[in-house]
Formats: sequence, C-alpha cells, structure tokens
Amino acid sequence: MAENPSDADFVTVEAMTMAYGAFVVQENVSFSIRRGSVFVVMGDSGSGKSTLMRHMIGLDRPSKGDVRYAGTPYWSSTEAEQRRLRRRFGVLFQGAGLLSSMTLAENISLPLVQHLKVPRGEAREVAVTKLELVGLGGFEDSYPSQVSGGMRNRAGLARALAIDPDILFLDEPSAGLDPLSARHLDDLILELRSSLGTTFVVVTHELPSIFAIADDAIFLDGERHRMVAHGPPREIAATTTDPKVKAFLERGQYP
Amino acid sequence: MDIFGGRFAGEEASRWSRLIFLIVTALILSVLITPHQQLISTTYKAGDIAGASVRANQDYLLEDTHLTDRKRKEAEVTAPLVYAFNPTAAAVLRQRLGLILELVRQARVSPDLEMKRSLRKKVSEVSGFEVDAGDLESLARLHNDQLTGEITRLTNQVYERLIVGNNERFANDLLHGVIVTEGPPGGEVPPQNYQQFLGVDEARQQVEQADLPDGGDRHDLAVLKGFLGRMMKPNLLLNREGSEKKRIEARDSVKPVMFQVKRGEIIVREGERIREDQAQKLAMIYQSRSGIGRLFMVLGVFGLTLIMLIFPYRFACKNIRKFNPSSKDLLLLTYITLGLFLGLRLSLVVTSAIGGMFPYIHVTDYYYLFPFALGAMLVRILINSEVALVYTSVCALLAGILFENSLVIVIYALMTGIVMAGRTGASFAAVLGTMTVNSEVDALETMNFPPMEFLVAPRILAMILMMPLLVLYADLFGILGGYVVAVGLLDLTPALYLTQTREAMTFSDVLVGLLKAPAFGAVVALAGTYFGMKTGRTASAVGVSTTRAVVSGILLVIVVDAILTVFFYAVKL
Repeated sequence: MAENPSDADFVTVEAMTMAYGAFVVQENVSFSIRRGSVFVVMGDSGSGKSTLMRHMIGLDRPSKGDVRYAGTPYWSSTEAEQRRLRRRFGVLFQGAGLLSSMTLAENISLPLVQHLKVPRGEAREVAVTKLELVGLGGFEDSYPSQVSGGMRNRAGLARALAIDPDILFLDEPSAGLDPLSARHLDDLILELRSSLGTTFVVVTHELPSIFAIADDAIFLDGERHRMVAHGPPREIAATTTDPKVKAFLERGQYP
Repeated sequence: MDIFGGRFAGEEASRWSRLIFLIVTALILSVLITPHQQLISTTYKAGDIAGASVRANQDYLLEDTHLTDRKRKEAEVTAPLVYAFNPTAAAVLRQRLGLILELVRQARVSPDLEMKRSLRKKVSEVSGFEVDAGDLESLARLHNDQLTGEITRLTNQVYERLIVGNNERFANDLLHGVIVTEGPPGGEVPPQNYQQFLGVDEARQQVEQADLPDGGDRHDLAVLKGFLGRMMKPNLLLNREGSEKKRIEARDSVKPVMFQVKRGEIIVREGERIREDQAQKLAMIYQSRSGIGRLFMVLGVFGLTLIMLIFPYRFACKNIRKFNPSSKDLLLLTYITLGLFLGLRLSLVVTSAIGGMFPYIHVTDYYYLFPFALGAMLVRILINSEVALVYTSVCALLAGILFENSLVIVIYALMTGIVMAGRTGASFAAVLGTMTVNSEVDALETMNFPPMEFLVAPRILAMILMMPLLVLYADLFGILGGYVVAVGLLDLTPALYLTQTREAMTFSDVLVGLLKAPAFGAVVALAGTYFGMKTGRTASAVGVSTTRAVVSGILLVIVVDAILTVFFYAVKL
C-alpha cells in the first residue's frame, strides 16, 4: 500500500475535552491514527476509554475539540455529512449490542438491506460469510440470547464488518473471553488488517492483546483526566517515566 | 401484612386461609359495590335534566300519587251536594205574620202613645225590612179573623213546592247531583220532588198575585200579600257542613292508583327533562330500595362476586401458563382490590356531591376521571401481565356493578385496564431501557438507524392504530358478554337485550371511545418510549424508567381524557 501523506493522520483527534455535565472525563486529548494500523486505547477503569470511543463515533458530543476522518471534521459537519462518515464505521460495543429480537444473520444483514438496498437473499449470504469469518458458521439462525458471551462478541464483530468499514471500533472485544478465544480474536484482527487494510481502534486493558496487536497506543489516566502516554506499547514500556503507566504495562508491579 | 402473611405457612393452613380470605374479600367487596342509587341521583326533581339514564332493575308496584290525587279531586267534584229541607218554613212565616198583625192590633187598641210610636220599628224588626206608616195603617184595617184561614191555605199551597234561594244555581246543582235531607234530624226526601222547585222570587210573585177574597179592601189585602211575599224564605237550603262531609266520603272511597314498572324499563333517559311523574317514580323506587331489600341485594352481589373471583381464577390457573400467583400475591391482589374499590366508592360519593353544582356536566362524565386502571397497573408492575389481564377483566365487571350496571363503565375499565396491564407503556419502557443498557440503541445509531425513526415512531404509530381496534374489541365483547348474561341467566329475550343496548349505547358513545383511543395510545406510547430511551446504563435503571413510564402514562391519560371530555362536550358529540 502506497504511503501517502494523509495516511499518517487518517484519524485525528484534536484537543478533545470530554465531559458529562460539570464532570470532566478527559481533557485536551490529541492524537492521530495511521491508516491501516491497529490503535489501542489503554487506561485504568473509569479513565474514559469507552467515552473517548463514543465521542469519536458520534454518540456523544465533545465539549471541546473535534475528530477528523481523512481531513473531514465530524462534529462541525452537517447531519448528512455525519451520516456519510458513520457509514464508514464498524462498531463493536461492550457486550456486542446485538438486537435481541433478531437472529445473528438478521442482525448482520440489517444495515445491508436497509442502507445498501442489498436483496434479502444476498444479504443473508453475506451474513453467513461474515459469521464464518469469525468462526460462527452454523449459528446464523440463533438469537443473541442463545449463544455465549464470546460468541456474541464475535457476532458483533461480524456485524461491524458487514458493510466493509474503513475503520473498526472495538470496545473491550476480549472482555470475558477465555485466553484461547481472546487469542483467536487477536489473530482475527491482525488478519483483517492485513487482508482488508482496515484501520482498528481498540479499547482494551488486556495486556497480552495490547502487545500482540497494537501498532500505536495511548494511555488515559482517570485520576489526572488526561492522556499520559502515546506511542507503540513496547516503546512506552521501555521509555516511560510515568510510574502509573509503567506499573500498568508491568502488571501492577509498582517499583 | 406480616400477620396475614404468616398464615400462609403450611400447605393445609394455606388452603384454609385462602378460602377464608376469599370469603372475607368477597363480602367486603359486595358491601362496597352494591349500588346505592340515592348517591347518584337523589336530587332529581321535575324539570331537572337527567345526567344519566335510569332504568328499573326489578319489578316495582308503585302508587301513582299524582293520578290518585287527580281521581280524588274528580270524586270530590262529583260528590252530591246536600240540601236541607225545612218543613216548618210555612208555619214560621205564618207565625211571623201573626206576630206583626198582633203588634199592629195592640198598638191600635192601646192608649199608650209610646207604643204607637215604636210600632214601626218593632214591625220592621220582625219582617226584616223597613215598613212605612201607610202599610201599617193598611194592616190595621184588615179583619184578621176572616183572613187567618186564607193565609194558612195560601202559604201551605206555596210551600208545597220546594223553594230555593237561587233558581239557576239549584238547577245547576241538580244536574251535578243533589241530596235533600229533611230538617235537622230528618232523612232523605225522595228525589222525584226535586224537579218541582221554585225560586224564592217566583214564590213571592205567586203569593202577591194570589186571590184573597175577603178580609179587607183591595189595597189593604195587596199590602198584606206584599208583606207575606217579602217575608218568604226558601225552604230548601244548601247544607255546607253536610256537603263537605259527602265530599270527604267520596274522596276516601277512591282507591289509590298503582302502576307497574317492569324490570329493565327506562324510567328516565339521559339528557331528558324530568317530568313530574318520572321524578315521582324515581323517588318511590329509592324509597322502596332501602331496608330489607338492600340486605338481599348485598347477598346476591356477594354470590356473584364469589363466582366472579373463583371461576376466572381457576380457569386462568389451568389455562394460562404464567398465571400462578403465590399466596402472597393473592394477598397483594386483595389489598389492591379493596383499596381500589374503596377509592372508587369514595370518588362516587364525592362525584354525586359535586355533581349538582355543574348541572351541564353529566354526572357520568366524572367517572372517566376515576383511575380504573390503577389496580391493573399495580398488578402489572408487582406481579406480571398475565395476572394483571385476568385481574382487570374481573375488576371491570365488578366496577360495572358498582356503577349501576353500566356497560360503558365496564368497557372503559376493561379497555384502560388491558392497555395498562398489557405489554404497552410499561413494556415499551422496559424493552427500550434494556436495549439502551445493552448498547443496542447505540449500535443502531452508529449504523445510521436513528432510534426515533427505528424504535420510537413505530411503537407510537402502532399504539395509535391499534387502540381503536382494542376499543372496538372491548365494545363488542362487552355487548356479547352482556348478551350471554342477559339472555342466558336473566331470561331477557335477545331482541329486548339488543334494542335496550342500542338505546343505552348511542353511536356517539362508541365514536367518542374510538376517537379518544388513539390519543390515549399516543400518550401511553410516548411516555413509554421517552423513559425507555432515557434509561441509564445499569439494569436497575430499566426498572426506574419502567416505573416512571407507567406513572407518567397514567397522569397523561387522565389529563388527556379530561381535555378530550371537555372538547367533545364542547363540540356536542
């Protein structure tokens, strides 16, 4: 893939401040994400990792700052432009967020049928393919409540992949998975990145995952309400002087 | 509650406790719901506008005092008049004339001047009219001894006939009916004589024109006849006391007029001006309702309540999968039911009290402000919707009894109850709340499905469209259920039931229901979806928003209903 100058800052978060009412979650967060990379958002519990993701995908409006996708600002755009941008996102929420009244296949084909006007039969085929991709072949007619948490997560990932997004946002994808499944998911992410060139934004605090998949990362501190580290995880681990980040990356072993 | 709850410990104890509980509940309920019509419409008087139709709920035999009075008055008018015949009238007349002649004779022979001077005054006193001196002189010239026989003959002859004061009036009274009694003690005089009556004026003429052959010269005799004539009195006089007695006798002999009111007969129609006889019927029915009849009514309602509690419960236990309330649930149901009906009863009292203050609002319109669905909602929240559905259908029927067997109330209570108990307002909030907690709403939003269009609008639309159907359904089954009871149990003919139903339920009743329904549906759905979408991110937040949705749903329905009621009243629908 050819390096072109805009690829380095494919996604840019510009001086974003996130707050719920008077409570400031994170202040003045800025970073950029290279196209086709896996970007990990780390941080302790309650530091605002998921909140940052919600602000990036348009669910919560930042109190200051903006996020640009290939140069286009999201929050200062029109509603139509925002819709167009959202069409390039695939999102896996915590707990997958599958519609419980639909089967897995219906969940996946829903955006295809509704937005891309793909005929039902074809959309179902796509859904089956995507489910096979995440290792859920044969479960297309199960309801979300009939499969395990890990399977739901993978089905959610399949749904996020359904419209072939440019950017995939994954919120705690391996939460509640056994080490083997988590490992499998990591492999899947890397495979998708190399085969489709998809950009990943992954919110997680699973150390093995972070070291396995991350090209770049930031660390959010929930106590100081700001970003305290930025860079590839191994580099951060080697160079950081911040005791909290160091401890986090060394599994809580404070010096 | 714990005291009662403790009784349900053992299996056997629980069975007995349930039975006792059922009976106590049914008893209290039947006392609560037995209708007192007095509470609703005591104040109906002739000329009032009826706020609701009233129909007889049993056969009545009532006295029509109005008609009875009229008959009695007629009897009074046709009662015969009593006249007293005085057989001594001729003798009295002769006596008086004799007295005058004696006075005149004494004055003539007496040397006393004083006597002569006072003669005129004395004679005037006896005769009853002013006499002049000339007449006295004429009388003085008469030969009394020759005249006495003649005068007796003449007066007897005249008084053979009945002489009355006023000719025309007596003729009238004769047509009406006359009884003649003789003298103060005497008995009746046979009727054939009545026809030969004579006015006192005619009698005088007869006397004045009578032929008196001797005893004086022509002029003096004429003066004498004039005296006789003028002193004549009728021998037949109206006996006022006797007539009055006859009238009272006639009045008392009239039997009271009774009329029959058949069960189901409409006594007053809604919106009509109440006539005198209708007001009277109502008053009498209210009177006859009190006392021992009420006790039997309570017993009857008690039996009915027992049946209505037991059979739906048994049926639901067998046939509805999720219907298996525990003893504690039953206890809860009892509390809710008693509380609800106590509340409704109180509302009814308050309504009837304030009903008279606004004569242009029908008393029945206030009923729509009552929270019929409250019980169903509480049960829905605290137990489950299956129990709530069975509960509301029983309660709706009981409420119908409370509200004077009103079909409209049954439909209304059932409809609102089903809506509130069913999977609507509360379940909207619960479903949307759960979806929010599970990030489903977020997922939809990021997939460019705006939740307003995708989740909220269809639900509201569905409620708006389906509520009128629900109302129709409830209307239909209300009528059908009524048909089964009326024809099957109460021996009414199908035709009678249907015509009466058509009379009781006007088209505008149904129309108002159908027009109100979408508005209710909309506000219930709005409340449900609004609070569902506003749910926080925890499981307990779902419960909170469900409760909020239910509570605001109730309030909104009440408010909207009040507004619509006023509106429909204004547009005269």
